[in-house]
Amino acid sequence: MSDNKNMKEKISALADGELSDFETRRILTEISSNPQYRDFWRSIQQTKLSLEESDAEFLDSDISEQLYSKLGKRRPIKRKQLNKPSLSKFQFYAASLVGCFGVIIYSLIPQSTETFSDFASQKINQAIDSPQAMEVLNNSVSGMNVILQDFESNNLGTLANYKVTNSGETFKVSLYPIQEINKIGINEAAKISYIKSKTGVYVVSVSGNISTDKKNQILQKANFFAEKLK
Amino acid sequence: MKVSNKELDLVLVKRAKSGDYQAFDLLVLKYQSRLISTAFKFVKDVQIAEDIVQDSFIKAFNALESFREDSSFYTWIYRITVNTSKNFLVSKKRKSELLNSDLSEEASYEIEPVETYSPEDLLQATQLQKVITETFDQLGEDTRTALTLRELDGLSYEQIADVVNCPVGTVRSRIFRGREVIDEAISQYKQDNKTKYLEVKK
Repeated sequence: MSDNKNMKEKISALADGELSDFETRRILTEISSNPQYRDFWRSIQQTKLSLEESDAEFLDSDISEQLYSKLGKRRPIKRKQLNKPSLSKFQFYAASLVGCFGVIIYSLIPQSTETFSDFASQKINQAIDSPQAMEVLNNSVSGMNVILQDFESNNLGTLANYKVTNSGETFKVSLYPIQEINKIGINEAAKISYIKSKTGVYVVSVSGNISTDKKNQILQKANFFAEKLK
Repeated sequence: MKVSNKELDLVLVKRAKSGDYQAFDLLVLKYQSRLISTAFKFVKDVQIAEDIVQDSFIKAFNALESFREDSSFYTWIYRITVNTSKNFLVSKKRKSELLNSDLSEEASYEIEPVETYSPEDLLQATQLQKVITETFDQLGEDTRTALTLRELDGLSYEQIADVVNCPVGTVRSRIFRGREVIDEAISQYKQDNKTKYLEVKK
């Protein structure tokens, strides 16, 4: 199935309340930024109303354009290549890549260069305040038979709570500025890396009641994910 | 954990609150037709009903901060629309009172709403519904059954999977396939209408 169809299938499931919290947030971002997906969302709503009511008189009415204008908002611009990774995804992948390399490089070379810090600062800021940041975290646990239980993402950082299906063990993976360190349960964290940047120091953490090996595995997978995107 | 319809609206409201207007736009697309229908029952004029719903959404957008997150967005916007419609009627009645008092002290102010829902408007609305229902009827049996159980009976994917004895993933695919076919029919209908409109303009 193409990316486009795959995305539309998810939008269809979203309209029925059949997506997880994590997927919901990710898909909403996609619909919001792509007119083709927006149209599909509208078509689903029209179909729902049409089948629910025998006399759906105002099926074709659309006031959304006027609302955009009256509220002084701008419509999203149509993407040219729907089946290829979008520009924002590339930016995000670049941010992820830089973030992961930042962790590795900083742990090897404690004093990073100012140029790298500036660049990393900019990219990390982009990465942490987005649902896509969750994708990095989720990829870091791929193949581990875990369930995403909860997550929090805002302009301060991103935190994901996971549960290992077989053992019931729980753990967190997070990306936070150092001043938010209390929120990530630093005491139970066995694996932490720091990234120094112009706007501050960021912490990448894997914590919880899983073994150190598993924590290492998560960091390795994050690294592998970044390598794959090269 | 699955996100229910009400929870999904709440996610959209939260995103809108944080400045994501596109999230609010998805709520507009979701509820506009139902609300225009509600407003029309009061004002009996399509254009005015659309204006009222626009005003209602603007009021809602500007008051998002006051929206209580334990309540339903649809109930909230529905209430705003009903109140805006009632206020419109009151205002119309007052205008009429003023007008009548200028003409005659004893003039009656009873207003008979004028229906401006033209036969053409009605035809277009019913045509689109016809396109949707006819396409729905032509879907393969498995697809139609899945979509019927979802849209008309309100079953979850898991419940549908139990009824038709297939995996949840298959239910999800069938429902999507049905919607995709209907979406293509809607797009074709809109394209045809656009072509007709351009031909008339020539």
